[in-house]
Amino acid sequence: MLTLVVAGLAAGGAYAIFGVSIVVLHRMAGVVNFSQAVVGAFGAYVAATGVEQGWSLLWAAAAGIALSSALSTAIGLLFARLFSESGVAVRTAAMIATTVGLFAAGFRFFGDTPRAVPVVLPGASVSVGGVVVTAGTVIVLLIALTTVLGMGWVLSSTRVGAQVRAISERPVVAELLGVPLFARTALVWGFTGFVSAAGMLVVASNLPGSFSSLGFLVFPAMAAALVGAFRSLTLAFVGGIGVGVIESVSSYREAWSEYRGAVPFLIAATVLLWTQRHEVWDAAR
Amino acid sequence: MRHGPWQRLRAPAALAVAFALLAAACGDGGDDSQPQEETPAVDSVEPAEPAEPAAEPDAPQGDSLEDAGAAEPEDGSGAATVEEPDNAEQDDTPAESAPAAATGEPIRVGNVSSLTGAGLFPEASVAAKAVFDRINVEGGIGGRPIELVIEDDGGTPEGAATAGRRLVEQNNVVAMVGSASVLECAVNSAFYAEQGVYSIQGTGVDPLCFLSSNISPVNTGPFAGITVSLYYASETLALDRVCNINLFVIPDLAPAFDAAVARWESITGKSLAFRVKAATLEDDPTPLMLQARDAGCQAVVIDGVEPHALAVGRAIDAQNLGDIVWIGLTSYYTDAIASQLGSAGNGLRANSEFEPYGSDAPALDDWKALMTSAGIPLTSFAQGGYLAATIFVEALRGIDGEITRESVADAMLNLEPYKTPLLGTPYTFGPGDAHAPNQASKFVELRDGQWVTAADDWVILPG
Repeated sequence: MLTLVVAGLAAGGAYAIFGVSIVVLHRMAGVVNFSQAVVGAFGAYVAATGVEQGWSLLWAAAAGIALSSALSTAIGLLFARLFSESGVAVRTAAMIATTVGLFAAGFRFFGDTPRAVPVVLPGASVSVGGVVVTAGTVIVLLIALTTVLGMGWVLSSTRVGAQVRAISERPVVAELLGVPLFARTALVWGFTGFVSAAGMLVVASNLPGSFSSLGFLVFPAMAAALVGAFRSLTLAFVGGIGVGVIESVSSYREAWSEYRGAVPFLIAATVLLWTQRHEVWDAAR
Repeated sequence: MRHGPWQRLRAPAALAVAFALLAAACGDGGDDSQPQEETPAVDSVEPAEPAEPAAEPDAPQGDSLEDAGAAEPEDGSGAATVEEPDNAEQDDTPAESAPAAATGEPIRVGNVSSLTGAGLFPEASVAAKAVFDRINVEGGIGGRPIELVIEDDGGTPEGAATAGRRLVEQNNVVAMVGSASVLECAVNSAFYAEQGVYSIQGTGVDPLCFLSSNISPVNTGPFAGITVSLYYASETLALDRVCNINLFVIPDLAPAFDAAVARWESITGKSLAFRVKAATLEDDPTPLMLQARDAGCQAVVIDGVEPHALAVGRAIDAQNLGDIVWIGLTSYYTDAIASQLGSAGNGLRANSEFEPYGSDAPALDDWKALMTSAGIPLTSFAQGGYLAATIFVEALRGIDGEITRESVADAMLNLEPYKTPLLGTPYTFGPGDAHAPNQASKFVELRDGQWVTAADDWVILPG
């Protein structure tokens, strides 16, 4: 059982990275970023293509991560330019359109055949009491922890964080007060693209996944973000790890195993029911 | 509010962005939705044509050009080649300079393969064509060349249905030879039975390939593959705790996989120590593999396609699971897997449905020489296409009188068991309701980035 918990940590770490990124972007830009995982998938598949073309592993990985960061920044600037004052419905619709577009573009470039994403640190693993912890797991957890702690600290304790929060509360007022709207937007979106690609690169090397199935890893990430109620970075981190571990442990019995794919949805439904438990009919409706 | 013009532009801008991306993606998605994945298809289809000039000294120019045209999967060959008497006449002129080559009316043979789409099988059809081209150069069948008309099913049911109907109804093919597709049998087997068309499948994957009166594949297939791999683990390797992990979880295939395990149980009277199925095709296999270890498995038969093979090989390495014998399906047995796993995959085994393509057995010499001269990669699929075409030629040679769909059907129904060192069991057709003649495998093992034959003996399923 413990081995299964550990085996789920790598995927859980990736969900946590995506989930925390989604929460950060939701707090800053007021948009639920459905494209968080698909942006990372672009990075992972560009790295895979690079390696197939004979690039060295590090260059390919760097190129993939750079592309994801640039892509994420571009999406962020687009939304800041066009939709900063739109209602939630418009922003959500625009984000869905962008995500669908990215999936389609990915399908155009990479097809729907799974391909081998390179292993960044091949073979490195440590065994603790019979439980093998791979280097990938350690890295992805470190990235997730750094993201959640670093982002939490930046948002709450630095001037840049205050500016980002100002943008999220009153974008126009913040801009009039001299907050560099586009620079801050680019910074935050670029950073989430960066960590998403890094996390995706690590987990994708263990998955027999096609481009679209990697992009759909946004579902468990959404469940993680929901655990954090789209506000708390720490809870989103815990949620992400939790989803990964529960998915892995649920393969313990065949009867459960068949429902592994439903784990994120079950968690999301449970969280919704729990958070709404005190609501009376009128308010919850 | 302040950005009046921008506000009005928002919705159209969002739509424009989405449509631009969609258009970029779908505009020509029909034919090259997978530029990367297509590379192997192009690689292997194209070299087949340059190879023809090599055979030119003996070959009538007209024939090879016509064949090359017919081999284009999307050339609408129905319309192009229906006027066959004209073509045959055109062939006559250059043929006079090479009297040995076949010049008569072509014997038209069909092939439905997945050349584009998700799962690609490009080698079988070109390998079959290479066999026919060589026969044509040597005089064909009673002076008539064999023309292979290759249709692409795109990996979709609609594509397979259209391809099968076009070949049977418009091109009037006498038989299907060397088809390689994940779903062609499921889609077309009833149609072939209705039309009296018989198919020597090069690579049969779906269960109906092995359950149709009109189809007899040369390959073992994934289901007998599971049974023979379990049999290898329990009988040849004599391991007690044999387990099975099902990663290729496609709902339609689940009963056939279950039946494959049940068949092993009834043959050996043993039962699996542990069996587990993945929830989705994209699942990380690691947790399942760790459970197999915790269940005390000594050998695990694990299915899936190439990406699964990579994930399995990496997990064996990362989790130190090398003490267990891991046996993959024949889909694991590719050079790409060997080179990508390198020494990390040491010990991983797979079943080879034919004499292992990488071995230096003399039985492979003719196949290797022909494939190399035609520029076709040496793969298991190329073996399937080569064998299907070779067996078909053998059947044609046995026909007295005119070669028609009916006489070919007769030849299939009365085919003598075809023995070759490339197969562990003789290839048969005949009148039965179901044909699965290849009930044997050899096993290969990955050692330092190379597949090597683990044992020289065939593992043959009894019964």
